Amino acid sequence: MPGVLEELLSSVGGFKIYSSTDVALAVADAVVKCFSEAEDLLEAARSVLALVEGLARARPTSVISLNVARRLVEKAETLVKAGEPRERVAEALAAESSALKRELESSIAVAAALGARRVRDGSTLMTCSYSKSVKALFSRLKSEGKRVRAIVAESRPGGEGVAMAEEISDMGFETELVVDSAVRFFMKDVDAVVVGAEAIAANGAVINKVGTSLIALAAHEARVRTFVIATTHKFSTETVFGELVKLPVVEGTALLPGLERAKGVTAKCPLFDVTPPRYIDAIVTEKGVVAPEAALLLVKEVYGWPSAPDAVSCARRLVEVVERARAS
Amino acid sequence: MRVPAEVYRIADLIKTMRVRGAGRIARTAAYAMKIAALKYPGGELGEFKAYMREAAHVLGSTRPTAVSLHNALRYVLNRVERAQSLEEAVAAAVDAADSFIQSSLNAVRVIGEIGSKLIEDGDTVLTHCNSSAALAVLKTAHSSGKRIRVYATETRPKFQGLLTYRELAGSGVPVTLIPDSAVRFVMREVDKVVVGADTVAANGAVINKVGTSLIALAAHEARVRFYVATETYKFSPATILGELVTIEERAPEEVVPTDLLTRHPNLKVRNPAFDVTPPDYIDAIITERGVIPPKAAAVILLEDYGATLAEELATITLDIEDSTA
Repeated sequence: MPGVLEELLSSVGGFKIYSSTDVALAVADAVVKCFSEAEDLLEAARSVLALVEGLARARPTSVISLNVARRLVEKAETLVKAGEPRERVAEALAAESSALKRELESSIAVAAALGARRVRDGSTLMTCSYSKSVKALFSRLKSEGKRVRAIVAESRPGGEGVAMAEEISDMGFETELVVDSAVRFFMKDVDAVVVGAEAIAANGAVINKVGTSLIALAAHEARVRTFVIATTHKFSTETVFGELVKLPVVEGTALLPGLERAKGVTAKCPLFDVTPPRYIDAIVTEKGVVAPEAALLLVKEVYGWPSAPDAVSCARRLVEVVERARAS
Repeated sequence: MRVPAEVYRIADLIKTMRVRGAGRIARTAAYAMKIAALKYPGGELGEFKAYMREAAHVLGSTRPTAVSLHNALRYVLNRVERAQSLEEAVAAAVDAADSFIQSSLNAVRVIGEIGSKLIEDGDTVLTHCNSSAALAVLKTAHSSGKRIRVYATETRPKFQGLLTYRELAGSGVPVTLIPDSAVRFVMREVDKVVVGADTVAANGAVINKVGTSLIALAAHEARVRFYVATETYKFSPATILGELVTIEERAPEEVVPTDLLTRHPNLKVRNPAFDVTPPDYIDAIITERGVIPPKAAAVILLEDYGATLAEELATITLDIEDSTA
């Protein structure tokens, strides 16, 4: 188990998995594995706790992964309290995980369909980084027969925009890859900016790949609309209580392709930035197209009010519940 | 009479950006004109003038939009054109090239002196690309004892930010390299932005390395002061007669390997070298003749090119009168 865990955490922290939804899917599998491969419930609960703590450290912005982990942990807690053995818990979690995955996929498809309604035939869209939701939007546009031109920023550090541009162009759209510095230069040609999200805070601020806020700012200046496509799984419940979303910064040039071998260079690569709600025209979710300031209402609808404790607390509580069940 | 191989070699260095930065390009081109003059094998004044115009054409076509390059070439050519004998013309070319190079180097020093006064002790300064004028400001501020910290953008696609990083680090200035996408992220820590210019237009708009206008916008949003450090020979006289500045688009290979594009037929790379920063986002332009508000750029142009511009205006007026007569 620790090998799997380390591998997952290093690919999450080192940006080997681009899309935060893909990270969440990998996390769901890992939680199930904790139960299916453990000797007993206590070992399973402890490895889940290690997984969730590691995840919160490696990619604290990945709200969707933490939300997915929390849902599975809460399910496990209910089952343990009902006296179910490890095998049964593992089976039930596997089923829950599959259901969650289906739910995520269909939520993305619904959000993409709603987003496509806001895109006119013949328009030019600008995007950045690598987003499963934005990709879903483009495939929806394709199935609707809308011809759209895409301008994609390469999105350094990391440069996942290159992979995004390759995939959009392979769907048959005319695609132009540009350096991150050129987004204001091309903004005059753009009809709408469409980006995904790593997380959405309670005030409607969007945390996404660094550079997103610059694009939104340049769009705002040029009176071009900015849309964020994100399912409600990305809403951060913790921020309702004033918790700040921690933004990881990588020191050094390891994530700057072309400069990896630059010796002794002091460099700072923030991975995410915060786009203030006033630069965002709408957040497109599977529950509707809302103003960013109305994100709070969706948080309430999805997670209840006040919201549930965070994923790490849930995992700690699971360990305690298992220990108590053992003692009695 | 063929232009000597050395001139072509220098032209190639400019075209392939092994010589880069508007000031360095201009000085190198002036030097190439001097070489051309010294290597002239013929013996006839008219032929020499044509030969020098050809050399200027070879050098000028390398970076069609670099106004400093064209101003340097024009500076040498004007002196050659006025000469009455071949000896006088060769001497004029050599003398003009030398004095251009000398005054350009002096200009950078003076800009450093003047600009450093705008930098305060404890400032964090952000710079973009690799500008000798902007670096002169930062290095002079540092050597005058002000404790400054610098953020240098990596400057895609060609990483000129690394040259800036090395030069500042070598002078003992604490400097941190950041990706271009992170400028808004760090802007809250930044007190001032200092960049160079490729071209300054008559309305005070500054054409500089792509990304400059995005940084200016982010600085404006955060109420961070934005300065442009530049020699006055980068002011474009043509713009006062309404001409637009063309933005050079460079090869896609600077951004991605060629095979990536051959694998994806619908994928293109757009690679503009420069962008235009509107004067509204610029607090001041630091020149060797003082700190000016960007919208006063026309004053500099009229001082330097007033006579030529008046002649060109007269020609335009005559043409119109002819066609309406």
